[in-house]
Amino acid sequence: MDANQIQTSPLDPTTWAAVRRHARLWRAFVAISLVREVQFRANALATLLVGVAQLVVSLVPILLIFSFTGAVHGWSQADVLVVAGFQQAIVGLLAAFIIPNMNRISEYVERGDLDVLLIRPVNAHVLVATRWVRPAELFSVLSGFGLIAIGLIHRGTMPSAIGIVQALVLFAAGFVLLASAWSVVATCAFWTSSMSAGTMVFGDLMEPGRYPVAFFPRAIQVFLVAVVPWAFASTFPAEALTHGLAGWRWSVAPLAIAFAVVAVAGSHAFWNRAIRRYSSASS
Amino acid sequence: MTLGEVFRVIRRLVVGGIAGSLAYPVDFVFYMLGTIIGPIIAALVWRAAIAAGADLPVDAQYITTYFVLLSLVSMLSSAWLSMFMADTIRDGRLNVWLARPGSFLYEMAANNIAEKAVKLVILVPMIAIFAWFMRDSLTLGVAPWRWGALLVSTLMAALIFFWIDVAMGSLGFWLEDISGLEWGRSLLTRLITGQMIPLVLFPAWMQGFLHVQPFRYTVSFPLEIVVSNLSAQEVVTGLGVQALWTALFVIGGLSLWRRGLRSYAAVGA
Repeated sequence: MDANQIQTSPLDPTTWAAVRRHARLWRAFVAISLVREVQFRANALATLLVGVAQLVVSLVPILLIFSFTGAVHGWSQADVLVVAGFQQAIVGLLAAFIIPNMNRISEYVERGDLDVLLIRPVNAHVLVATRWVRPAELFSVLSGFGLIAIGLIHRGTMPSAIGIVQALVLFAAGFVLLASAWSVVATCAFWTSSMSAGTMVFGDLMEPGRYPVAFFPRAIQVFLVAVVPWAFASTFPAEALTHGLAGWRWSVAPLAIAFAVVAVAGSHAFWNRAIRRYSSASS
Repeated sequence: MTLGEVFRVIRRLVVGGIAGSLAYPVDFVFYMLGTIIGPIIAALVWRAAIAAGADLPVDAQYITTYFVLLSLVSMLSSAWLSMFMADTIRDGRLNVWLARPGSFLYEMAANNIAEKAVKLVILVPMIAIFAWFMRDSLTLGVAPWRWGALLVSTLMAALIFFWIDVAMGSLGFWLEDISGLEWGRSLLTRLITGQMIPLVLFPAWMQGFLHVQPFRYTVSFPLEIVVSNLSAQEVVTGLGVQALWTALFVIGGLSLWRRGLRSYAAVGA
């Protein structure tokens, strides 16, 4: 079986069977991670405390800015707290499911460990991207949702049902977009040998997601839509919850889904291109 | 060893360190991008607040100049040796250095200087580009003596951080793992050094504490010399206080290191 394609094989008579087998595999990875997390309870507790402390510290600039003004470009403090909540939740999801895997790609390439992964009867990209899970990081997702609730309560308005649906769709699409972008950055390790510093920089680019894109100049806004798509992951979901995406802005949600599909296909194609030039460090 | 011999050893270690750092130029470019991204985002957010009519105690010139110079001062003053030191102590690699005539701290100091030299070459063009984009409200045309004072203050800031790291790393003589303490330290210093937000923007009730605490002298004070309207008298007084804090941290770090060495039972011995 070609390690880079989910396709029919003696193991999987249909594509759907292949998808189901990979889903079962991922479920097993999650189960193993949960067992590991239970074994290292102190570490899980430390991760929880770190997440809460980082959230508190990260809110200091927002609290200070709004001690000097009531609104910035139409965004009140409550609105920005909702944006920061979505950012926190996305970062938690990335830290739980994506970052532990992306940080290892450089090691796989440098040490030749990828050889062992390529010969397994599963899609290598799926395996590399999903093997490691850190369930304790999901506390950050909860604290992010808590922050969104605080922002909405502080605002004093209830989001509409359609606004909630739009926000959830955008949040999911934003997560897929950011995960795909991170995958592309990590996959560059096939050309540069090591991308650990590059993925570290991508981590620094999580920072602007805490603020609405309207806070930034036009060029940065384009960057936050097209390159590191925080607009879809935090600003638009917050806008959907707080104001609703009416008029032409309604189209942002289906557009985000389309972008997410293209991003997944693009990152997978990039991986396939990278894997073709891999010549094993261990042989 | 005489002082001259110490300098000669450190100089050779620095040359070796620079050669070693140059083996990973792409990594260093990424590290420096990481150093400058935070200040760029902070500058843009605070400028947006000012443009929206936020009534800050400082103007756009202060904010812009502060964040443009921030990555340079924070890089030059930073140290990153505590975790490495603690690991070296824990796994017994310190033994090699104990058998040599020069101290392990010379290697740490040389590594710090060497990497900063490489980082400086990469970071300065990045800061120049950042400054060019922010040129509309950048104020760098201050009196030359202020730049001299900034240099002196940054050197003392580097000493403070270096010896704080030595103290933290020396805890590895007694503790299995210092990562929790190190994490707490980094979170605290981000807040109260001025790395994240200029200290002047904190509420009035916090200003007294922020003004006297030692971490102000690692990032904020060097920048205040250039961006704020501190008088010559205030700058001299500030440098004097900074010198006292520096001496205190040197003595504290060195004492912990020496006490630790005396209690060290080498792994593998």
